[in-house]
Amino acid sequence: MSCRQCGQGSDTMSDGRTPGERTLYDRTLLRRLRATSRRSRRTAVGVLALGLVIGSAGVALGPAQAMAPATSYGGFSTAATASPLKLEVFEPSIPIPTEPQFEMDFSYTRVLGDSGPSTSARASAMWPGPAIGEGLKTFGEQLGLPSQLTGGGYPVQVNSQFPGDPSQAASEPFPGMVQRVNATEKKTTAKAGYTGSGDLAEGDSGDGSATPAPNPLDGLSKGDFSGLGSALTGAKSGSNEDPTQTNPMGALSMLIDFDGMTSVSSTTYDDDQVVSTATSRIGELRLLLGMIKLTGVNVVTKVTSSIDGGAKTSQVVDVGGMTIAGQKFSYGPDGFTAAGSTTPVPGMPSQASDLLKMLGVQIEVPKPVVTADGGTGKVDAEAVRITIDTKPLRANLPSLPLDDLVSQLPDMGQANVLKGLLLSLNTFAPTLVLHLGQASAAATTVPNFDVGGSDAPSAGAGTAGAAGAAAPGAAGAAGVGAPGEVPPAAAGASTVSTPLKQVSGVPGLPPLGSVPGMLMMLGILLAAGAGWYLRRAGGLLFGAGATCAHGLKAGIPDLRKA
Amino acid sequence: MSVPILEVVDVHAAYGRIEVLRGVDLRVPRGAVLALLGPNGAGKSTLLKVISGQMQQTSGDIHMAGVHVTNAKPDDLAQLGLTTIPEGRSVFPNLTVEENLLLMSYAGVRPEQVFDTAYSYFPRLHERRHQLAGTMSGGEQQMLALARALTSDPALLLLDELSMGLAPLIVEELYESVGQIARNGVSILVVEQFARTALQIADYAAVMTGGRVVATGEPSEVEAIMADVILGGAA
Repeated sequence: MSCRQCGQGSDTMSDGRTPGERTLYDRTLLRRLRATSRRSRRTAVGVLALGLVIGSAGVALGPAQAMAPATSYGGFSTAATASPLKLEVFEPSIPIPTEPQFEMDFSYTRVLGDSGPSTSARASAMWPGPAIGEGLKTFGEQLGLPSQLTGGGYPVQVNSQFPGDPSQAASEPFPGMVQRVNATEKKTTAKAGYTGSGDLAEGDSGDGSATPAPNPLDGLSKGDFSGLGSALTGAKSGSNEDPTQTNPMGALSMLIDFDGMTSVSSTTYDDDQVVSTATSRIGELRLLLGMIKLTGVNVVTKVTSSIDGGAKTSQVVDVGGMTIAGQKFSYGPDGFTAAGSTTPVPGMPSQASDLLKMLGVQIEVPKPVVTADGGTGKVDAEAVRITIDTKPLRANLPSLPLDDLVSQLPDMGQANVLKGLLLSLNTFAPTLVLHLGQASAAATTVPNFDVGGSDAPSAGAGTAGAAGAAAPGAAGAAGVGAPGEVPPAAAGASTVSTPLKQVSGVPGLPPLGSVPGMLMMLGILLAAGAGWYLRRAGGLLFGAGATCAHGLKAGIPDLRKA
Repeated sequence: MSVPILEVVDVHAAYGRIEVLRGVDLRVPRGAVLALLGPNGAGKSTLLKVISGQMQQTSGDIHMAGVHVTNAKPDDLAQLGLTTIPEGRSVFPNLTVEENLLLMSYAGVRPEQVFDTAYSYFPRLHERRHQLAGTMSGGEQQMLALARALTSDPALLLLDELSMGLAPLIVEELYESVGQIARNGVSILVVEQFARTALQIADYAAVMTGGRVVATGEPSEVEAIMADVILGGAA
């Protein structure tokens, strides 16, 4: 007999096997053990691969996280919209689901900017509002118009964006009607209007910060005649920062230049501040390179936002005026302005106001709406608002005998819709609102977001007492709390040294090994598990739970009964 | 279109690093006889081994009666109606014909029923019932193998090289029996080198060369193009 434990004994075992020979049970057990081992190895390899992917993602994101912003603010948002003439029609019987039911902005410009920077600009000589301007294709589809007409969207507009394409666009739907947009990393501008010079001057924002436009003849005093030559020949070279514009009037524009209904919206992003400017002008005639300017309506709104200085707003609302060598003579909502002083004017005679009111006409000179709160500022201004309510006029007109005519139509199918529309004509009395010189500018900056807590005060050398002595400006620059906010110093506090950890202020993935990092990895693993489970459950639900890619259930069929 | 009793989809199989099946697609309709033809080394027998569970494919799917069959053991498949008659007959030579047949009763079929089925298809086996199987002729041994398979009440019969080593007359006789089996509703996949004989009883035919099915169709169509296909025309 042999010993099964130690394998010693005679050469032949009780069941006739030799000592090295395996039974069927042994072979089955061995095969199962090998299969289990194979599965374990596959699982381990899978986990290792997942770890490598996550690790490499963390490594790849590391440099981005380490990048520090060059700006003093953590993020910003800007918006500038200008429209010299805006018409709004309020009439509920018009079957357009917007309020107002119809609008048209002439020489409309809009610039938007966000952190990044990510900016967009739009200029349109005639902008029908977002409902039609953005959704013309949908309107065309609903009305059954050919796709060639509306498939390309609203045609009278140019758009640009940064980053992206196009960063610069220009078009002239009609001679003299210009649409220009230009988006760069530092400045985004949209211009629209009627001009003879091919480009629209951005103009003075009214707060004295604008730099005068370069005079091509300045070089003459230094003996440089190239400027004169270029001006006479119209030759120009430009770049994305200063794009070249065509000039239909050529050198003549040095003497006489004009802008019709124009608007310019622009935003600039410097390292320490962002500026949003909106300008609306109606009628401007410039003589002798702008030395003498005759303006109709000129509305400029501007917001400058920075972390240190907060939001600063300025606005200029001129209604009719003349500027000679920078000296302004104008009439605005506060009265006449001449030689820098404003003189109030008596109100409009009451008889005239009453007469207009009886006709449903109301003329307002709205006050600019200015809001400024910390780093957020916004200015909405317009020169004149004229509201025409046609109900009084409509009441004085005899009603058309539409009811009798429409009642003759049969009551069936599409005719009922037509009847409803025709009957509504008797109640058609729209309210028209004309906005002259509308301009709106807004800008916001926010401080850097510090995830890991305060590393201020930097001048405190790690002591609480020194923190109290830090300058307010220093605390604000640290990026924690509101600008200028200083933590109160504890009276008599001992100098307890607290180790400060320098962390990145840029939003991003937390470092590997930290608690947030591990939580994120746990979340990724849970999400992967949930995804696998849902996929499996979905497959089972729709019959594809088996391993077969053809959606058949797995198993061994009874071929005799199949 | 009804669900085929056997469907092979893009099956690959290899012996070690040598790939023998390189994406085989094949369908055997229910109750039909499919003749799988091809030269030596085309992968025909390997395909039968994969279908019957004696060999694991490296990729691809095998569907039987609309069910995806994966990792099935040969004995499980045999119990549920898949019967294979391997190349070389594989009868027990030192047992008599009756003893060879009696072994099939271990599958749960009564001995009387086993003998009744075998002798009704092949009366000659009744005459030789006490003779050792190894002393019979090749054709009679093949009959015994066929009879043994039929006693298991197959739904799908895989026949590998029925004619190997047999005289043409014997082969014809055997294929007449196969045709009779097919008329009783058994689906048959027959692998054969003697194309003409197999095509006489087949409903469909397929040609395999180089590990792939390169032509399928009616027997007359395949017979017309087979020479070109096997000699390299379509391969």
